[in-house]
Amino acid sequence: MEGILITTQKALHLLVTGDQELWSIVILSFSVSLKAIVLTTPPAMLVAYSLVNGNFPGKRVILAVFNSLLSVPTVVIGLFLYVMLTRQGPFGDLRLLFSQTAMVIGQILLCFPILVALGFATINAADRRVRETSITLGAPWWYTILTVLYEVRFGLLAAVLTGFGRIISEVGISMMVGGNILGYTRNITTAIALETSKGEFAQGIALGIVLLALAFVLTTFLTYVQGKQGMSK
Amino acid sequence: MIQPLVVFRGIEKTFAEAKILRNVDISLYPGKCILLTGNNGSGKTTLLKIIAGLETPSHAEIAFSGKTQSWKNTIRSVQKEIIYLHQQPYLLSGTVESNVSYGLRFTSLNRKQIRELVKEALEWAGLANVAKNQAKTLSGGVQQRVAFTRAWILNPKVLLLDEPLANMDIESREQALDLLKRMKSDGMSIVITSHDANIIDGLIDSHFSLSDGKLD
Amino acid sequence: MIHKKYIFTAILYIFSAGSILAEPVRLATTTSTDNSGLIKELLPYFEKETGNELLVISAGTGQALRMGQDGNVDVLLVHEPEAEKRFIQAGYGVNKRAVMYNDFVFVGPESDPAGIKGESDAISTLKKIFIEKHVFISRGDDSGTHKKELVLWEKAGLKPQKSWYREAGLGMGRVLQIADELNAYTIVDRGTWLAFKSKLSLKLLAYGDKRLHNQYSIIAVNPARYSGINYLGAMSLIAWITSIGGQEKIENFRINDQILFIPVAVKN
Repeated sequence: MEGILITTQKALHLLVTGDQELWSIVILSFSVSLKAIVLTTPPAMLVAYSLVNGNFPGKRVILAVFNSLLSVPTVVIGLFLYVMLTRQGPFGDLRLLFSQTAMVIGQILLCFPILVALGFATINAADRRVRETSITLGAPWWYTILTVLYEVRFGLLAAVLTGFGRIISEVGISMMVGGNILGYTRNITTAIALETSKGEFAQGIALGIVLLALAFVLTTFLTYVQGKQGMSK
Repeated sequence: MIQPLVVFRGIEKTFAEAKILRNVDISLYPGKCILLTGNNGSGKTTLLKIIAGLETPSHAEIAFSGKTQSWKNTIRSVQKEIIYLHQQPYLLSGTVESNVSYGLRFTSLNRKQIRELVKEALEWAGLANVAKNQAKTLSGGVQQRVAFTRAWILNPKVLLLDEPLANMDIESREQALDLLKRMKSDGMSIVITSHDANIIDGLIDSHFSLSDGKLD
Repeated sequence: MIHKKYIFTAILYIFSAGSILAEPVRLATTTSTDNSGLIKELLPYFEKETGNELLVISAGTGQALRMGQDGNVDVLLVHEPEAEKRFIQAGYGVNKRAVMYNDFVFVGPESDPAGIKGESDAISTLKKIFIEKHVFISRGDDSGTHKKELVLWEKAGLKPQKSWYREAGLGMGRVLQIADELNAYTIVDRGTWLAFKSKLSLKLLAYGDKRLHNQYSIIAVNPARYSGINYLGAMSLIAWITSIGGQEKIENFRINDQILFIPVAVKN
């Protein structure tokens, strides 16, 4: 293999000149993960809210279940989904295997427990007075929920950023149910994992740089948001 | 003989095996102010929250609009006329204006009408100069007045105030008392709790004290 | 009035599903064909000349056959005749056509400690490696290459030992990289070898045995087994790849002017 320096140079060149294949892979990653996080956030927040304020049996158990789902490896989720979506499987007729939709579903499964668990922690720490103020001033139940969520929005944003960071860097799910098809289901992580086997190291490094840059931006933003959260109390 | 707006009977609240409230009866009359005293932990806040519908009693009955029914059946309609203010009010993220307009958003008023009402209310409370300020940045006394205004603008029949003057300086206290007097003369029924009986006069019409879960 | 911003949140829910124009053709092929770069070369021609969209999933032959059996793809391009025969007999595949061939070769470190250089007998090659106990990387992934390798060990009557025999469970390109790192021997199809040669320090050492013949065939997944199999798309690929034009493209696919896959479909 040629020297790392040369390969990295090639990598930067690919990035800067807007190599189409490379950027189509990056865009695919964002497209899939953004869809997943946007679809997951509202229901996850509602679940988290009901776990804090709801009155039903088994709350503790449900919370414990979500917390334990946090540590499921992505390949396991990927395998489970593969079995569900294969033609022979229960949802085979939907023909979703090897599609972006399958990847989005898998990433939803991955980030849902994260958003519920972190959302729960945030909402649970919210001032009780918010809900009471909203109710006593006559707000309908759904507006009270929105009011509470808005008051702890920075904590919720931190949860969303954490979830997003998790799903955009996963490879187990994308690999198993995506198939790494060029221009169709090849995202940053499957490209790095599988294309390097063809010796495409320059591309792999370029993509790695993109992911690292993204991780840096997310973490910086997350820290900023958490600072704001501390201040708004 | 003036009719009470609403009467609560037989309020009981048990929490963790302890009886916080036993068989409490309380009647709320328009334009009258009740002072509720009692030591810390005597259940004053719990009683107010039950009246406001923010907490559920173990048992209670409500006489309202000529009918007596269980708490569960009636509280929804009663709740609409009652507003509870925390000891330290929570102002929502946003301006003073947006806080004051909060309760009006669920009425059938349009934006213009709401703006008018809010303007009027802020003038009434002497808050016109801080209308556009971020509510959370204001001093405690001013925040309290914003909370009053936020409630007043909805024209509730009953106002429940939990230790409203506890952390105020003298000047803010004067202004707050003034607002409360005006609200009383507008016909509002007011209940104030305090663990210190002295501070308020010219306002109180009756005084009850809560001890050992019972009212007298 | 309720804040309009909450309505925007609702709008975020509206997503346009991926637009599906014509049904794409799903091809499962082996990592050897993929790693050699052949598929990447052929794909744009096929798509342009037939108007079909081709989705390529690369896996070991065993995995590819499994995908066909499960109905998750429409057509297979694989290189393991025995497994293919069973596949068709079981009714999973139809319309098999021979497409191209090349051969397997043995590669290893330049120093060649087992002394297999120039050897043209596959069995003797393996025997020498066995005696020397030099590191050998196997595909270990149920692929055509892997199956061929196992058959040869069996014919030689040898059972490689764990101390020097490593089963990677990976694709051909990956295995070559590992062998390069560890200065090990391995068996590889000529197409992938030529594609990777310049990036590796390994050398071509032994080849030529008739038993190293590597035949690639294309098979359509039996449409009777599942609804929604893109049979016409699959047949369009089979037709194209066995057409004069397609076969010419295969013949013209070279690296350093060396041919990687020899087309066999067109008989003069």
